[in-house]
Amino acid sequence: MANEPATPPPRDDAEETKHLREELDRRRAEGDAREAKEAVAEQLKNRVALAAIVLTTALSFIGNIRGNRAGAITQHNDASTQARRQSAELWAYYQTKLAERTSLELAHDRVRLDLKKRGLSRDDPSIKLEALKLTEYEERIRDFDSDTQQVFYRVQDLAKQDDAERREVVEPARAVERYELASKLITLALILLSVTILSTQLWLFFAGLGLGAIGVLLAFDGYFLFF
Amino acid sequence: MGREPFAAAEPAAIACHCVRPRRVWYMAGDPDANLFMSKLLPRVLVILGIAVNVVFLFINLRPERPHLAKLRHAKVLLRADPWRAKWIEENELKDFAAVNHIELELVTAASFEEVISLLEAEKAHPTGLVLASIDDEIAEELRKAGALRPIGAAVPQEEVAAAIAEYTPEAMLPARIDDQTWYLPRRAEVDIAAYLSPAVEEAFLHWDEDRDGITAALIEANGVGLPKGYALKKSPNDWDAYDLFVAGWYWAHHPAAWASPRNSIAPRIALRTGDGEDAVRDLISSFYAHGLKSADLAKKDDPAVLDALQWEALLRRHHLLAAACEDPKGIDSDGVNALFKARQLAWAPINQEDSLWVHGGSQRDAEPGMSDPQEIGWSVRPRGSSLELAEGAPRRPGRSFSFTKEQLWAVPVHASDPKLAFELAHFLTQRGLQQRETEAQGLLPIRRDLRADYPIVFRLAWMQRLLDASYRQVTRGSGSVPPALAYAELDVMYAALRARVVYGRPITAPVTLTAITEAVHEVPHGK
Repeated sequence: MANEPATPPPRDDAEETKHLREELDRRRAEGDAREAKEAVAEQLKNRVALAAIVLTTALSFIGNIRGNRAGAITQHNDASTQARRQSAELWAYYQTKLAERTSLELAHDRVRLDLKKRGLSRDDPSIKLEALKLTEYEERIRDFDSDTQQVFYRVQDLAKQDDAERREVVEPARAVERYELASKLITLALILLSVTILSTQLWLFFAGLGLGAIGVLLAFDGYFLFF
Repeated sequence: MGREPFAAAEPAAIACHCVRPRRVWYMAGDPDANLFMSKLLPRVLVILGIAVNVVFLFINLRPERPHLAKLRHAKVLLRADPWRAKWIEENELKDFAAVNHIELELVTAASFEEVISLLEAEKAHPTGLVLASIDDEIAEELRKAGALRPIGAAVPQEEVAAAIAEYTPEAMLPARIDDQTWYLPRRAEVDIAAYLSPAVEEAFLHWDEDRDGITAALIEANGVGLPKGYALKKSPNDWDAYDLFVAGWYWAHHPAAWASPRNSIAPRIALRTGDGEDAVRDLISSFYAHGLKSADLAKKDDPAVLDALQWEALLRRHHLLAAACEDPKGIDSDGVNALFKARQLAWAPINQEDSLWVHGGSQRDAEPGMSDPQEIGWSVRPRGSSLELAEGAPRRPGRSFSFTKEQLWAVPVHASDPKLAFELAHFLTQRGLQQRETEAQGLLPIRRDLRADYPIVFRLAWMQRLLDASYRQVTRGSGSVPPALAYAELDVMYAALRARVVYGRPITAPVTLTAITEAVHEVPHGK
């Protein structure tokens, strides 16, 4: 055994070295690929983060402005309701006055019919009291007319106010509708961006970005009401 | 190997098993593209994102909608007096102008003749008129002259259909021509009658005292006198030509405590006379009330025409018509209204707008009306009925009839923004505005909802009475003015005929049907 040469066959050495080199290259390639993958994922994450910040901020602003418009709607609706309620109260008052006026008219007619039946004219000296009552009724009826006229003017003002307030709601309502849709789209965009981080699917990033852009445009339309 | 996705792949292709090589094209290859994607694009996106949020921040500072567009200027043409024009401007146009960022200028015309000339001038030299209020009598003339364009052409058909559904079918009749929406209805009017309640009461109670005189006057005209078993009807809504004559006779022969001056004796009926638009419409509608058919409109010796003229001649013969009716120029609706408002009349033809003026209306700033306006009553026009009797009853019974008059919103042919015109016309006829316009100016609402709800919506008792009578008239007998009237100049012909036959003969001239027929035949044809 001592006389036998101890050196391994040179062919085997070369093969092993070759294998080692190949292994090294493979590992290097794997390392490069991993680094490239990580770089891409890192870059994607950064972009997702950037897009998310922009969209979240926009969403917050849109939420505020939507709240403001919705508040304006509530304000106008409240004013309209109040005008309607006041108008209804005044009408009730008007009706009461009208009922009083009708009872006076009936009394007036009763005296007149009575005089007619008795064949007496209003200027007859024997019916001074009836004549006095007739004049009083007529004056009071006239007063009722002018009073109710004032009530009616006020009711008219309130009806006009109610109408105007209801018209004021139309434009903010259109805006709110668009802001709401925009908020929903941006929320969906943010969800897609979150999924992008987990899945590193680039198309999801672009889909999220696209939806977010549509949401932002819709929000601008909510403000400018282009269409 | 299946679980080791990058092991056998090319380096560029194994960047990620999900991110395929084509998706990372910018990571390798063109260095300029690489630079753009890795450096420039993120910066652009960051700046854009900040800009978007800054804009939203500013929007939050002033969240109500701005009007980015330049303030537009548009004109609306309206036939109205200054008070009405001011009311429309303040209560209707202002609202629309504010929302749509338009400066609306109101151009007023004193008459529809002026409207025609303004629209014709607009056709030759557009001045920015987007909408005009015309009436149904001049609409066809303007349309044929090419001065107008269909109002519904510039907007989607479903929008037009939705708008049309809001108006009454009668109101839409003149608005749709050849399946096209040429106009949107604006307002309608129908002539009815106004009376003073104490006057009617007095006539009803005491007319019998004058029976002999009345009978003698009628015998002179029809050889018989009053119809068999005649009695004055209680309500003017049920009156016919005989009732109007009887009441008119009583009023003209007795002092009236309800009139001004008090206890004066004077004729208390007025008809619109002369060749004015209202007068001719009244005259032609009286022919229809006596049974005239549109096909016979040109026949001046039609029995209905003769009956109507005979009645008017009889009223004149016995001085039952106000003196102003005898004026060679006639008396127009303004004149009749003024007499009624001054309590010098007991009965007069009237429309909704004039009724409000006479009454005083329901607006704080309106011109004061008649004293004791609660005494005004409204009714349908009296039924036509021939003076000639057969077996104690009118030989030719008629009906109550009146022409409706409709105003329409039309778009001038060169209007710069027809869509805006449609929106404005539709806005101006919305429920609330039409309700207020009815209360302020007097009209017959053309909206379905207001027509259905008018007893609920218009809560003033007198206004309800006015609308009750108006809609009753529409139901009992009404129609549009026949277009042939103006085309064939029949209006001119009949105005002249009345002037000659009724007012042109001596007051003592006989008023029998034969005499009237002869007088009609004596008038040269076409005059």
